[in-house]
Order: sequence, then C-alpha cells, then structure tokens
Amino acid sequence: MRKFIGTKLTLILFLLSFQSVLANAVPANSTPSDVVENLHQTLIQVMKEAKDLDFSSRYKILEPVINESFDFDTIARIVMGRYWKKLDDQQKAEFIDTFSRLSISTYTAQFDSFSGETFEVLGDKEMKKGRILVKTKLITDDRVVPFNYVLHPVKDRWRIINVIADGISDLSLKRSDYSTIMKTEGFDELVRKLREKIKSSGKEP
Amino acid sequence: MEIKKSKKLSILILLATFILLTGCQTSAARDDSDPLEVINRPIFNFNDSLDRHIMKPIANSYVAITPKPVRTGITNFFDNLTYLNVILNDILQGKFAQGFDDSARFIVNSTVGFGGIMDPAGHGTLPKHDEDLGQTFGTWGMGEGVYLNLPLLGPNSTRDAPDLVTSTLLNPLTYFAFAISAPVSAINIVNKRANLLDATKFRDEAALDSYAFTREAYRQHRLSLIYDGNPPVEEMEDFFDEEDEYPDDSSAEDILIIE
Repeated sequence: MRKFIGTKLTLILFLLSFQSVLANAVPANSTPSDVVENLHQTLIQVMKEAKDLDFSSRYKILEPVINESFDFDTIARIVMGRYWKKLDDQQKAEFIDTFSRLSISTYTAQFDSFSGETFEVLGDKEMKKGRILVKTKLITDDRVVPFNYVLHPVKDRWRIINVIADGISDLSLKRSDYSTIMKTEGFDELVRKLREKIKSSGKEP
Repeated sequence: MEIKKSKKLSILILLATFILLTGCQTSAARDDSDPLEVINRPIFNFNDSLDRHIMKPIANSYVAITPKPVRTGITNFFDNLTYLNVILNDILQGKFAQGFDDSARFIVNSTVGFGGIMDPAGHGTLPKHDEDLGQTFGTWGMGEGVYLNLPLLGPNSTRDAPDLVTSTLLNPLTYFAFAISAPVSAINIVNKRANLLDATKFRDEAALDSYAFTREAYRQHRLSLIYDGNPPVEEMEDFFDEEDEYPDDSSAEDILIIE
C-alpha cells in the first residue's frame, strides 16, 4: 500500500512537471538560464513536431514563448541605432511590431526539422549594468555551435536582448543591415522590406 | 643580382609597413566604415550573380549526389592541406604548445588519416585549429584595415588579404602540376561552397541588404576567430560607458558583444 502511494505520488509529480513543460510558463522569479532553457525546450519541441505541423501552427506555438523571452522594445531601439530618436511614436510602435513578427517567423522557418539536436546550458556570467550572459551550445549530428544569450531584467523578469550564435551577434548583423536601408531608402521602405520577409519566410525562394 | 634582391626586399618591407599603418589607423574606426564601398558593392554583385547562376546550382547538385561521409572526407582532406599555414601562424602568435600539437595533428592525419581524409587526430586529443595570417596580425593588435570584396574570393580586408600569399605558398597543392592541381582545386571550391549552403540560405532569408549583412558577418566572424571564439567582454563594454539618459548610436555597444 505504501509502495502504491509512493508510485502514485511519483506519477502525479511526473504529470505536474510534464504539464509545466507543456505550458512553457516561466515563473516570475526564474533565472536567466531558466528563460533560455525554456526557449530551447520550445524550439526542440517545435522541431520534433515539425513533420506534423505546418508553418502557421509552429508559429502559434513559438509566438507566446518568444514574445515573453525577448525584450523587443530594447532590441528594436538598439537595432535602429542613431535612427531611433528620429522616429515618431507611431513609427516606433510599427517597427517593434513588425520586427517581433519577423523574429518569430525567422525562428519558425529556421527550426523546421529535427535530427537529434540538443541544447546544453553551460553557465552564466555577470556583465555590466546587471546584464547576464548565458552560455549554451547547440549539439547537432556533426558539430557543436556555441549559442550565447545576453539578458537583462525588465520588471522582475529576465529577457533576452541579444543572441550570439557561433560568434556572430544577431543585433550587430541587423543593426548594420537595417541602418544601410534607413540611410539609403528610409523608414517606409525598411518596414515594407521587413513585411516582405515575413510573407516569404517558410517558403522556398 | 644582389641589388635586385635588396630592391625586392625593400618593396616588401614598404608594403608590410603600409599594411601595418593602414591597420593601425583604422583600428579605432568601428562598424560601418567601408571607404571602398563604391568598388566593393559592384564586385559583390558580380560575385553574387555568378554564385546564383553557377556556383550555388553546382554545389546543390554536388550535395545531392555525394554522400555526407564522402563530403566530410573531402573537407578533411583540404583542411589538412591548409595546416602548414595554421602551424606557421600558431608560431607567429606565440602559441607554441598549439603549434606542436598542430604539427603532430598534421603528421598523424597525413599518414594514419590517409592523406588527411580521415581525422584520427581530432578523434584523439588533437582538435582542429583555425589560424591564418590575418588572425596573426589581429593578435598583434592590428585593426581590420580597409574592408575589401575581392573578385571571385569575396569578403576580405587589407589585414586579412596577405594571408592569400602565405596560404598559397604553404599549400602542398600549389607545387603539383597544373593538370593535377586544377581539377583538385575545382573540387575544393565546389565542396567549400557546399559547406556554406546553410549559411547563405540563412542570409538570404534574413538579410534586407545582402552586401551589408555579409560585411558585418565577415567582420564578426573574423573578430571571433582572432580571439579563438572568446573575445573579452570587458573590452566591448567600454562603449557602454558612453551611454546617457537617451542612448544614441554609440550606446549599448556591449550588448553587441561577440563571445
């Protein structure tokens, strides 16, 4: 009988832990590593289910997790660099919205198949101004790719502000790319191009 | 004859001084400095259309007909041929222990590894390292210099370009007859392009301006290599101290760190 209760308890605990994974809920007091780990779990889950799910179903799974893991307000400001201050409030809101949708689309398009990949959190490191660097690696069948994340606290919650994959900073890339368009073609053209990217993501060029 | 020789030497020294100077001058300039963009961009576009119409389709067919283990073997073989240049630059960077390991690696893989096709050293305790003359200049404190886009060869810089000379001179393939080296080099080029298919797919999906995206990716990749994948966070954080209440362009540079 005692053994039976023990088994039952284990089962309940197991189900509970399973449920929290499914819900992808990050508790308010979670650590930076938790936020990254949670994102990784969702990515792996989407990759595993990719053969049964179409683009929009995967997008819907990723959307809430990415939105709560990333600080798109800060990312948008830094990506825009010196052009940020020149935008009016409506343009800022428009850019943040378009940018975050493109980010989710990119993740959805990139993580579209599974062949045994795993992520591993290696540890974290304190940076200036309360920022934390979380070091991880992606292990694929033929190589190991370092994935490092910069997070900062926003209202008691850790949020990602940069991803550095294989030594290449996503923020720097976008900043350089977008500022070229801002300089030569302007804001409207930038947003138009971003929308075009959202439309074409997940489709073969 | 003697005079001719010394003249050659002085030209070399002059060239080296020029490269060092341009390197030092521009090391402070960051981000978007690209004085040769008017020349670089058309060359980039030329390379890009050549790639789209010829190289990429060939690389795609190559991947389709060549099993992955074979491609890995081919990649290993050509990586091994570049290894004398890696060893030279280990030494130039003062990494003597690594230079010793890399020499052992070259010997083991060239012999037991069937001319470099297999990587027994890497499966043991002698992992592959990536060093070149541009990285050596970087570790000596030289900045990127001027960004270049070379016809057929793609992204480069005045700091990194001299490596084309040493890597060619130290590649055993250079000393084979053209009838052998030409077709073998062709395989190398196709295989190299195939290894980049994922990266260019990602670029094509993400980039709004392919040229700017490629330039920034090149710069960061090079910086990451110079620091062997571990650039100091503190150095990058200097830019962050400039941040004010309303951050401008020079702010928050440390978020951009590469590690």
